[in-house]
Amino acid sequence: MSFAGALLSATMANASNDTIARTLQEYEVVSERVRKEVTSTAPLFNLTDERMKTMGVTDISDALHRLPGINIRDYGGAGGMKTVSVRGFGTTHTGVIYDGIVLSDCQSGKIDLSRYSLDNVGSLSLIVGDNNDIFIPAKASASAASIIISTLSVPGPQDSLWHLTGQMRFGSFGTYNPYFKVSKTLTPKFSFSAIGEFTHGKNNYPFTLSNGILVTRERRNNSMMNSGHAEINTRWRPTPASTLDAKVYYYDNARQLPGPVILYNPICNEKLRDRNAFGQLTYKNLSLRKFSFQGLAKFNWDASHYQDKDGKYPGGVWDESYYQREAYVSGSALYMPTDRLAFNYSADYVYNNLTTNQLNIVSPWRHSVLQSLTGKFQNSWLIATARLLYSIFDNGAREGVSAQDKNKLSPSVSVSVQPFRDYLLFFRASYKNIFRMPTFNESYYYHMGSTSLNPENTDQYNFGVTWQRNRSGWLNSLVLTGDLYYNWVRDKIVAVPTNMFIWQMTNIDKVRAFGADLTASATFKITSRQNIVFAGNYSWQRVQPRTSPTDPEYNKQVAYTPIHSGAASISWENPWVDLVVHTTGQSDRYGTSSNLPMTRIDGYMELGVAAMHSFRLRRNTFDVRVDLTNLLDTQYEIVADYPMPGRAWKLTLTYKFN
Amino acid sequence: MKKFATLFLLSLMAGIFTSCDDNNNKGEAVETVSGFYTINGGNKSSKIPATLTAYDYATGSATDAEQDAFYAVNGIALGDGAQQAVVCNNKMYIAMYTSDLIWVVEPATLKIIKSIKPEGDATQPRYLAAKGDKVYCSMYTGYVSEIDTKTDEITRSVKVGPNPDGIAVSGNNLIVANTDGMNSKNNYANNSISVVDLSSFTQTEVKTPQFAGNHPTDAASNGTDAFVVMQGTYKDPSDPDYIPGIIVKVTGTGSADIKKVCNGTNIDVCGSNLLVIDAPYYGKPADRTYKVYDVNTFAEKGNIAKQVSGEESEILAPNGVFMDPVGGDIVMLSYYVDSTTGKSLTKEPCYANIYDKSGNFKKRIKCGVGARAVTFVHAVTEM
Repeated sequence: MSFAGALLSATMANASNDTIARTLQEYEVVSERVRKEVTSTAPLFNLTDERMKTMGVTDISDALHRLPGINIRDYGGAGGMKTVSVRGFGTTHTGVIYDGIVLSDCQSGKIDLSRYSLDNVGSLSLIVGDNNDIFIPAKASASAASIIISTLSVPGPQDSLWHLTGQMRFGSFGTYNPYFKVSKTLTPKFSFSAIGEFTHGKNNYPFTLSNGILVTRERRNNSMMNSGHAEINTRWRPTPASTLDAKVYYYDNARQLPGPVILYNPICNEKLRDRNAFGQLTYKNLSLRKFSFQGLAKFNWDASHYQDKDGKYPGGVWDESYYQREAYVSGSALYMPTDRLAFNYSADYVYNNLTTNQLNIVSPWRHSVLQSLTGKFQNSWLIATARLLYSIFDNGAREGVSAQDKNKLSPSVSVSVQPFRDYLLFFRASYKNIFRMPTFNESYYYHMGSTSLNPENTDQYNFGVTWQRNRSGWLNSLVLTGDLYYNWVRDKIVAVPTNMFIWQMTNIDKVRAFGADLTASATFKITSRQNIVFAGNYSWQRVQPRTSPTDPEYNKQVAYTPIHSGAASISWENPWVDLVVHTTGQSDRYGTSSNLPMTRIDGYMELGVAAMHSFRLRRNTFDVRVDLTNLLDTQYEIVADYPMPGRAWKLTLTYKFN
Repeated sequence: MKKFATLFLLSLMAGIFTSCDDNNNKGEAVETVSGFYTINGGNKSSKIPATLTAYDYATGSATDAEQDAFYAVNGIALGDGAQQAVVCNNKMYIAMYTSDLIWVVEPATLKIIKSIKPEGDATQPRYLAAKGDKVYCSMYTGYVSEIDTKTDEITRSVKVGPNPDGIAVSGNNLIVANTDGMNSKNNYANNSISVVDLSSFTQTEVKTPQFAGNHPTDAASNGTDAFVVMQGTYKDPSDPDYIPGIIVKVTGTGSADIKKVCNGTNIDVCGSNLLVIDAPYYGKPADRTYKVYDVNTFAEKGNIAKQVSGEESEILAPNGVFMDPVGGDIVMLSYYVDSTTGKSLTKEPCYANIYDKSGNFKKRIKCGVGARAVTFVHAVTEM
């Protein structure tokens, strides 16, 4: 299923009944996606499953590296947590939208993306600020930037065939990963799909530990992971212009945590189990000429259980358990009085609560009401949008003093211009003001938490250009994008030490970020059956603490933020074996925001290759894919003292029946 | 590094030995102080390793605060979570909590002699004390271990209260501050003070119901008179639940043998002087006091050092006070503090202020990140 906004703004672009009907017959929106990308009023970068294959993308972390402006904290290996931040906003400012609904974590505000495998992902997008997708839930516009994961759709109404996929992946460090999917349209009104996957990894990869004159070859230990995920999707089409999608999802991951490398002490007994179950419903009705409506509902349950065994703890065991529940409903109405004008009103209500043994108070909860009103104007050379988001938060707890209630109004505007009718040259400009609420950890964590925290505020400005050139001789297509941005974070929530032992959360910090994101993609035709496809992205970012001129951090680069980062891939598509060479890299970073020389983390370039081939026999397709990652066995770290895996291989065998 | 070489040379010329807490081994020699080390815990989560900073009295200069004096000599890193060091039997012992290791090094040069890896249940070294040719180490898993400095092996371990930190020799006893520091959820309810008989190596755990709300964290002694810091609540002094940190003297194994001396958060004991910093956690710099008391009468003798706001002699965020038992100099460790926001700069190098025994400011030196303890090294010139 493609995410609702993509589908429906595609509809809006040519808002005739015809298009609507076609869209609802699940007309493939891939070409629309490309069009959306070039005309987007705010930066939008999209990787479809096909594109990811062409680029030799190996996993979700690798996919995120191929998007500009994203900074990933990767703790290494299949079991290592992976969180992202965009353009110098912290991780907690990055929304993750999974099949149309924003994921949330009221405890830490961070979403671990390592749990999403790419096997069932139809597209992965990054959107920075608000663009011209206006028919979206209010909560989807409540982040500074969003990662949008859209899984593969169920078969269309006219497709009566069974679709089966069975896949087995083997890899280095004791990894294996079976995946299974079945989907079918049972009646023209009803389709379903069911998915199951399991991943086992020892993740005990070797690394080189350099301790001055002592250089030793070590292995990560206490790193085993077992992870499984199952989901069922259904689509019911009560009328030709309305759909009701349902999804039931369960995820379970039990892993050992290898922790940071500690000199002279390899002992580690940490364990983490994450479980997540949710059910969601999405209803869309586009049957009226000028009105469209969509409704969402979701119930989410999330459990996280951390355990460490060590004689220093009371009873020899340290236990942290977190249970989060979320109930979410959203309604959006789109009104299109003319072909050029559209208005959207969305109202969302969210209830979150948390039960844990780690907070100052008992069972905190939060009611959130978010409403957005958006207007959009569009003609042959201009798209302009403006949005107001009004958010109300009501905090409470079963026992204890809860955080403050808040309400805020957040504006955004964006515009895209195509100055010359005959050239696919687009200029865009956008502004967005948004905030994030303090997480429950920040408000209530033992000793550190503060209930008087204010929301963290951000302002972002973006200016960008996209130039696209289609078929001319050997150049099949060329797309170049460039964006310049300026971001400002105020009232940033940080733990401030009052002395060596006591830390307190405060709204003290200010951060300024400016930078440039460049992307290029091109397809060159060699012969009628051979193409060379290039894709590359480069980001330059300066993210500077601006809290206090007397602080050694002032105007330096925020910890773990490279000034230069990028990725590139070249693939040779041919009838025999498709080959891809790809690389990602980052410049030096520091473990401290004052860039203390002893905390420097060296820059790196990682090189990988992928080879793949498809055989087809009637309705049967066999895919074989071999990946070699970190081909040069580069030893590097993204997070200090968490070495990344060296050279590794992966073999993926896929059978499809359709 | 130059200062280090000086220290090294000095030791070669003079022949080094060091004094244990009870100042044995005086012999025919004349003892002078050659310098001190600051033990810097670093900041693991920010990739800042633990380090040592060496200060040489002869040259009046310190090694680079952003380098590790230990690494410079040995070519390998000190590790993570350095806590304390103590000198005994011509050797210096450095307790490494996170790296779970005790380094044995030459005091003047820092050259590695050996590393002691705790095994079994008694692991994760915290604080050290010495008596005779024995070094005692509190282990955060709830033990005190004894190291025989002749063999540099752990010879005995005794189970004490939970999460022991500060330890101090009091005659034939070792006083242990059992913090229960991993039990913040229950407000450190299982805290206690252990009195370990150093002959039988058995302990008596003493509860302190009279100081409810306080829990022991550090200990110091002059070999006889032992004092324990009992931390208060992590509250603002204006909060109704605020309980200040206090200093108690431990004279026996009954609760009644533990008596409050004064309020305080950091101590050292040297001769008849009990040095006390009282720096309430959320208090303002003006609320802090730096006082000297008599170890027996508890009478206030005066100030450790005069604090003048804005002057270099000022301690901005105190991490500890240490008095040289020989020369009488006083060293106080502090974080730098951002003057605009008042934030303690915990990921930046710290500083050590050196005062003479009357509290007159002598010098400020920069030392490594997370400086938490000072160990004096004594050089000896034979007559």
